[in-house]
Amino acid sequence: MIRFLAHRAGAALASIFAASLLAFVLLRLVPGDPARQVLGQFATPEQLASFRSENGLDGSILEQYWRFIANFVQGDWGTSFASGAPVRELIGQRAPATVELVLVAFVASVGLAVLVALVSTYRHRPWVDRIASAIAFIGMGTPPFWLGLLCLFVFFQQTHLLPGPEGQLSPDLAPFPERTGFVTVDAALAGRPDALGSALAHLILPAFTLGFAMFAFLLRVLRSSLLEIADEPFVSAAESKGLSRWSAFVRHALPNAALPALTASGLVLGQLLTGSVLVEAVFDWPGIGGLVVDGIANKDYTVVQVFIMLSATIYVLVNLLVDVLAATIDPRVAVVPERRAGRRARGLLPSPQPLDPAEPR
Amino acid sequence: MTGAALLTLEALSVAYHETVVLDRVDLALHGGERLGVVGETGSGKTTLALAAIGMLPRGGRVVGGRLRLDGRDLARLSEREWRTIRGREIAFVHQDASTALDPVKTIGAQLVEAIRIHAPRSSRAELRRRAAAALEEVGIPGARSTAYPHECSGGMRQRVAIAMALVHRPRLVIADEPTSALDVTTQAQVLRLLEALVEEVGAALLMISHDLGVVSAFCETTAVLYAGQLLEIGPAGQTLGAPRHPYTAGLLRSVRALAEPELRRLPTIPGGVAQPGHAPPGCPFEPRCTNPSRDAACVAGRPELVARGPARVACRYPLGDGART
Repeated sequence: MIRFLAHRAGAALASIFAASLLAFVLLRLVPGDPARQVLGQFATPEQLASFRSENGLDGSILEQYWRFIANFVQGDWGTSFASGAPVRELIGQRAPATVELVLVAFVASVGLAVLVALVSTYRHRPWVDRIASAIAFIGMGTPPFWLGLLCLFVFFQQTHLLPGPEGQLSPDLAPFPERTGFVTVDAALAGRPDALGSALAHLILPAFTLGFAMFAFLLRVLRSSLLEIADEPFVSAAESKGLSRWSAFVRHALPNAALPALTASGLVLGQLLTGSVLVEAVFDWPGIGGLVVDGIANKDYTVVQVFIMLSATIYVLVNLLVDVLAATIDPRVAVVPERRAGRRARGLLPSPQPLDPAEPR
Repeated sequence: MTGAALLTLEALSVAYHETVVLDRVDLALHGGERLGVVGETGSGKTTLALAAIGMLPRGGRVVGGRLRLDGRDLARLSEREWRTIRGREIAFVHQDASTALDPVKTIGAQLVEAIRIHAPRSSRAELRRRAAAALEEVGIPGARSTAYPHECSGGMRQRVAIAMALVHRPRLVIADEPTSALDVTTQAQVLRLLEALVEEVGAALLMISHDLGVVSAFCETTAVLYAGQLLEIGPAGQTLGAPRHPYTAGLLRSVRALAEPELRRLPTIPGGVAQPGHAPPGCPFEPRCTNPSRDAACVAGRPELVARGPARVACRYPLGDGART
């Protein structure tokens, strides 16, 4: 297990290194001189030089890269070209809204995917089956921003059931103290049911828009592995002990089918991180997404750079966690030779037939 | 047959959709008795085992007759009622423990689960203690309960499965080819263990097998199934020593030939088993029968299961005592 962990952590570090190269190169790929781009045509040579030294653009390429990495790790993420504020501060202000949205979308889509996958597969019912695969198919083919607009049209513009694109709260709500930055948590802490209700109502459509594709993808992955496992003898063997079909399915088929879905959910989180940028734009959500969109529009490369680094780090860490979880669920993942373990965990290789040296076959 | 039987099949018929795969089978199994059901692939022997634990696969259902446990008709039970019987009164040992055990749970956890289903109020310590004791019973140290199935040998896995089946001291153990996935030396060990434990808890054993040697060594009674019909049932020594039904005799000839190297050709039964649902209206074996006394009556009507000495045989012209086989 320790060897397995070391191996995985090494791979994670390598991925972050690759992402850092990408983020670093981005700034250097800007046509022309970034200093000139930002300061404009009439900047003096002194201004340009001071801009370069402030933003780590002087010295050799290696030196620049080293400084970039060292600063990033130490939490010095530079200043925004556009606003002059430290990027760390900008991100810190906006992170809670994004985290709240992504977390709700993630938890809801995973939970629903597991539930729908189980209900649609534990018994052979062709029509339930067909509905579930139709949902999965539609969900995977629907672009989130379009789904967001459609939701707004139906639930806001036409029926007024849910709030429109106005961020996290109704604008006419009396303010309440901000403690954690997470609006729902703050509203609950302040003892304001009206604010909490408003925050939750504002979460529904963005979270649905963001999570639907992920839900559909996970549903598909989980359903196909559940259908495969459903006929395994150990599921009916569990039933022959006196378990109901449902319990046998939840306790024995699900853990065996969970591995590919778990790996898939780690991979999908990447889509969620980038998807949130678009969804936030549609719903005017005060999260990091808006910051990134503005950053790209204003050529504010430091912001974009930090966003790339952060998403890459989160993505890699989550997938490291997924690998560890996979090894906890299925002990065979950590036992088999490492080079193949990863591929097996991702569901690309079938589970190994146990070999027993003590027994001639 | 004396005394009330534990398990009785009264003209039990089972069909998958419209296809009848088990056709009016009559059987009685007494407490503590060991019955071996033999037959070729497709004879309905596995269907018989699954029907007896109420776990017919999708599309399968009892279409006629009764299945009684102590006189209670199991074929009419609801799924909920079945769950109180499965694992507690009737236990099942699957063909291959390497696929019948959940690969991602320790053998101890799976035993604990089996115990808890029918003893829901037990404390965790009590459950663990009973699981360890059940393992010891099949000769596995209790400390091994943290092992995963892939860390066990094939014989050990099947012993775990046996421990799991016997943990609630069932009155009937159904074993569907319990050793066909094991190599020959392990096979004998596992069978001896199964026999000893079944005897110890006083359970009856219904063993499904295509291996006549296994059945003759471990069962008191042998039932021969062919195309979903019971052709012959009787004491194992009698049935397999001096078979009365031409089919049983043919089956035995083809097995015995394996022990005689000077034989050039393996004796076979001509023809093939009738397709399920397409058994002839008469004796199902008639198209392949080589018995010289067979006649039009064999084609016309299905022979009844009639007592012939200690056995019961469904044949109009059974082979006589001492007939050459």
